[in-house]
Amino acid sequence: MQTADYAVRDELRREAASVRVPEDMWRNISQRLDAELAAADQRPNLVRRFQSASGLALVAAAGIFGLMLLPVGQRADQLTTQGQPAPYVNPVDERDLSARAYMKYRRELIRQQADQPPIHETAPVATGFANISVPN
Amino acid sequence: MAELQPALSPEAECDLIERCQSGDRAAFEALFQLYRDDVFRFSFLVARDASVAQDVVQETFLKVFRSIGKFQFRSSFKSWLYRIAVNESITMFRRRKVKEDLAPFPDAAQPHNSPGAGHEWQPEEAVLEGEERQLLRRAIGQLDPVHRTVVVLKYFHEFSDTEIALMIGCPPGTVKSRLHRARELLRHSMVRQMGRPDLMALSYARLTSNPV
Repeated sequence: MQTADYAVRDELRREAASVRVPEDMWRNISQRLDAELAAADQRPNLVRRFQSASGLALVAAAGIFGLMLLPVGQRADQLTTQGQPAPYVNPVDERDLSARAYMKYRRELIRQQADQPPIHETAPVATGFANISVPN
Repeated sequence: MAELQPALSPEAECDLIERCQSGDRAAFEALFQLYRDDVFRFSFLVARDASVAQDVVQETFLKVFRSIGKFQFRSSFKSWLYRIAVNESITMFRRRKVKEDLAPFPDAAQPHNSPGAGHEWQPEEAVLEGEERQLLRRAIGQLDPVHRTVVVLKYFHEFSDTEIALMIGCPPGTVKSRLHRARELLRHSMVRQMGRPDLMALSYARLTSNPV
């Protein structure tokens, strides 16, 4: 058995006829359209927004490109030390080390310094009193 | 329904739409007046709440106004409009959680367009007829919005399965299966509601059989 189509159709028509279509819908829609149009007028137009956005993007790209041209690292050292006497070259160039190797190198350096006795133990300060001869 | 169809030739409607696309507010108002009753009744039948239906109409036509420039006359304007209305109705229905309480209709007890409407109605039959309608109305009200949408488009607006498929954005086979499922749900709902044996004999037979 199936539900009769005519009964469903009849009921839907009856239900639809029971409600009155409101008259003020267009007024509400019109008001909202006016509000949307007014808000759209206050916003900068699309062309202007596109121009400002593209200008900003161009400046940012130029900045990034300029940063890429700046010399860094050894090249920067070469440029800044031209014409100067050769600097002292550390047998271990810390800049060439990885982070882990650098930490190991620093630890080793500290350990070596800690193993050395303090200066006052190895070379006591001469007071000068030892060489003074007291006359009898 | 014949009385719900807009009385406008396709050429005139195309002209109206083109004027809307060029930003003519008067043309848009004419388009609104042409379809507002259809959209309102459709959304009322889906949401079963007049205030929700009013909101749906407003949101639907606002969307139409905003996006009518994209309408390319590949389908009928009505299908395109109903597609927006269907989405809005279901969205609004789910958002507001419309209660399923049914307001009594003023002419609920009057016999109306039934197959046996030619003969003189007895008071008992009138009462039974009213009860039948209540059962069916509750059953329709208990359908989920997706199935109710298909039922309304099919039985109230009398669109073809292909048109409904365009409106709800699915294949025609899905429309057929949803209609079949909706009929099953209606039948189950009515059977469940029929707790009174005195109504069962007449109402169930009358409402669950196809007309000859």
